[in-house]
Amino acid sequence: MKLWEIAKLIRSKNSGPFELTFDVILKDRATYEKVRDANVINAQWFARTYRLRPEVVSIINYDAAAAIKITIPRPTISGDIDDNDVFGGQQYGPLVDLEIP
Amino acid sequence: MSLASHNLYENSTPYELIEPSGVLSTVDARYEALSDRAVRVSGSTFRKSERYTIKLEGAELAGYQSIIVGAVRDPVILRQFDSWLAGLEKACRERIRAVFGEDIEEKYKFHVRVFGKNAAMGPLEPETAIGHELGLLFQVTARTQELATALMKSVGHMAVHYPVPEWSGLITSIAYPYSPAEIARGASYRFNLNHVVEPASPLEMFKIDYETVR
Repeated sequence: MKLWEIAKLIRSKNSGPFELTFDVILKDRATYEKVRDANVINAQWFARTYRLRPEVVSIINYDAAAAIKITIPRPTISGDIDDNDVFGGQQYGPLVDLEIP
Repeated sequence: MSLASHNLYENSTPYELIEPSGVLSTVDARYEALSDRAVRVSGSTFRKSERYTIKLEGAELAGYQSIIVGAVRDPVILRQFDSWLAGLEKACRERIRAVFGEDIEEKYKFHVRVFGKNAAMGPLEPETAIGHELGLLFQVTARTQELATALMKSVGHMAVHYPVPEWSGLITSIAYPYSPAEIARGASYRFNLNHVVEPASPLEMFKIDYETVR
């Protein structure tokens, strides 16, 4: 099953000009717990996909909203002359088709 | 649940909301739906900080920009797109050095974004397949608008005729939607400051002028 099929929302956004934050909000509590416990959204996957060291990846399981939040340093500072995405809103693509066991 | 999810938006953590006079912790917050439209939130706590702090962000002028938008449709070019573009970029830089002199090097920056390939994610893009055409966005950043525009005119001429080995004779390899092709984008700014300030008083940094309106 792909992540997009069981998520209510997958998004990316700046959290300040130097960070990129990803929110995966699942369809319901049971689905959230399944994804959380499967641990496929992890620092190693993010480090590999976004070419970072795993130590700089922050992952928060947010039970109250049935959501998983991932925050990483921005590859380029928002709005800098080589930045491709000023609001960071289109950086979640690889998460959409992530395979969930 | 939708109220709780609001804590996620543009924040690196939903549990700590940092304000000038302290930190709002939502670790123990409970969200109860009272009706379809009303929610009761309880259990969040506020830890007052010893020092009042203000977040200070600053930006500086990065330069003036000129851009060109274009499209490539020729399958022969698309099949060897990466090497064609690398050659094109190199040829543009060499042309600029030949026309504007050696000391131009530190006075400008040249970027190419490729729409249809990796325009959103740049070098992080894991997808390698491309479609039947690609969009190009050439971008020059320089110290003045005049220089940015002059450099971009040079890039525009060089790029549009950049060859591939398969075709002999002069080719026009990029579709420009506009003439002149280049567009002045004006001043461009970038972040250069991200600090937490400890002002002597909460109002120190905010000047207030009163005017009487009759």
